[in-house]
Amino acid sequence: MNVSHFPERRGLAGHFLVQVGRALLILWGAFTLTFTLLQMMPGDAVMIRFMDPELGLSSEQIKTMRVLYSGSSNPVFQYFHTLWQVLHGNFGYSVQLGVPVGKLLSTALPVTLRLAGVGFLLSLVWTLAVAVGASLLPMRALRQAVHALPGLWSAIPLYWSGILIIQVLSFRLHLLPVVGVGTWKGMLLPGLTVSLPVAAPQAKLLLQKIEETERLPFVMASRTRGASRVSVFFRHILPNSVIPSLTMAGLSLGELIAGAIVTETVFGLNGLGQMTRDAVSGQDVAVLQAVVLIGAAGFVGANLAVDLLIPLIDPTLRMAHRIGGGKSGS
Amino acid sequence: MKRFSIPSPLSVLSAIVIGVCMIAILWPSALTSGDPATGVAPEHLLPPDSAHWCGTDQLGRDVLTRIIYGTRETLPAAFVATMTGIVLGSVIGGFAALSGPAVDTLLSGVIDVLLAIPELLLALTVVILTGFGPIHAALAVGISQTAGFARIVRNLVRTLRSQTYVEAARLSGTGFWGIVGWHILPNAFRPLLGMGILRYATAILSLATLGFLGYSAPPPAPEWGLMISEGRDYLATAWWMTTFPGLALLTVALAANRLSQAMTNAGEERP
Repeated sequence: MNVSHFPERRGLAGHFLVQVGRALLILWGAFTLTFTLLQMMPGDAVMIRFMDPELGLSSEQIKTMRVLYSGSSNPVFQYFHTLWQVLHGNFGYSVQLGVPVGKLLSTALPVTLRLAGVGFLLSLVWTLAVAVGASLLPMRALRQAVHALPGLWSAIPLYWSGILIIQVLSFRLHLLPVVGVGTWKGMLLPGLTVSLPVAAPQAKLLLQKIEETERLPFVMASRTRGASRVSVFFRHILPNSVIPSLTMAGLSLGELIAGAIVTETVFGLNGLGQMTRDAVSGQDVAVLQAVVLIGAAGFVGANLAVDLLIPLIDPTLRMAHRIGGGKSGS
Repeated sequence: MKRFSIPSPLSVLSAIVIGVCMIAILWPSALTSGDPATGVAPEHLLPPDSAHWCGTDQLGRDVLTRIIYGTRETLPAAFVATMTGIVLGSVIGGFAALSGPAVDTLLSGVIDVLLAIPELLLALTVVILTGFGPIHAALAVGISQTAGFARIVRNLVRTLRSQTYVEAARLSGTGFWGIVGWHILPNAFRPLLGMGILRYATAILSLATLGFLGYSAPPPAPEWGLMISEGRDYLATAWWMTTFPGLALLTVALAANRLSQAMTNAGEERP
């Protein structure tokens, strides 16, 4: 459990500042790492694009192009130059398309964010549904079947389940349109596709935690006092079990963005996924670096948000605050 | 002290699945008489029947034959990928745990950064560097798994290092490599193996994803991800072209998952 570093001596604000600093350090690390890796490219994209004899460019012109696209040939200068630009929201130019990466992002990012958002909400729904089903369904066999679902989900290849969903829901049952990009309804099928593998680890963790919580004395106590199964589950077991899965859900935001890349390919959406595929095929370094940074930022940002939310949700931490003691519930 | 317990039916089934895959890799002609690369043109897009259990594709190739030969594409590559991850991760993690706090902080920072980048994006970064192809894809997946292994190994070695028996060995004059070789490696082996098998299942899925995106083996290859990608053009008419390769992928990944779980449980049961 990741709450062991919860404020004991520092206040909440101090704790938050440390976490923000950590997040920024990780992002800086991710930038440095991708920059270094992508500097190692053997033939750079400018060459690949402009060496094409059909364009009929002289070697002088190519040299000017290289300077134009990558600033300078000195790697140290280029590192700080690129870092400065990225800090100002300028991710450089796409060599393939000749437009600023920011411009590409402005059309691609909303599509992917919407997909990731729908996927995230649905994954929370599955997680809760599994927890409720595995705990409260009437028959033992039924409960066990629900219990086994997350294990199954975690092994489903996204692109395959996406295709199956299209086949069954759209082609066979004509329930939902395959295309219809702009609408939220059109996001339902891709969102469904992304949500299952993301829900798997958080559902697994929640089930495991519920099993642990069920054995705690206070649960026994409220049962013996005559509280119904349902009320004990919702009032005591669930709130005391949900925190690790919430952390896990935060961790999954980066994975959601990665999953969106594959899912967009299946559903023909023009988001970050399409952009990334084009970038990899065309060795478009600046575009890929932007996507990697967005993935890392999603991961880090969601972690931060979860870290802030946990003290508000975790009953043991809330209690600790009310009593005024410094003991965290880890 | 019980050393052997009766394995669950699911674990047995998983072991059988992996066994069949082994046969398919080593001796595919024992399972099918067909040829994965050449098809019979008039027999294209046939639905599953007694002659073609999983139907045929757009070139009249038997889908089941291609799935069987496809084990040769993905499964050894996933092994290479996971071994790459384990070796690199053990070196980084072991180095972090056994050297001073400065190195440990630095390497842990690098591990944190790598873990913050989604694995697929990390793999794509490697692919853009090295180019396409099955070996490059395996390397990319291996590198994307390195940070996870490095963290596990680091924590494992740190815990083992502070055990009393390691302390005792050090006090009785065992050298650094003696302690690593005699006490740390043997005790780290089992948890690492369980983790390795689990990550092997993920590697299979990741490699198939790269294949699906077209960054692994080029088209005539019967790679499962690629087969699913090719089948997308025949979604409305030939469901078997995408469904069966995906089922194969799912089955193998689940089996590997299950075996890893059985391995971990067996490790916990040991006194």
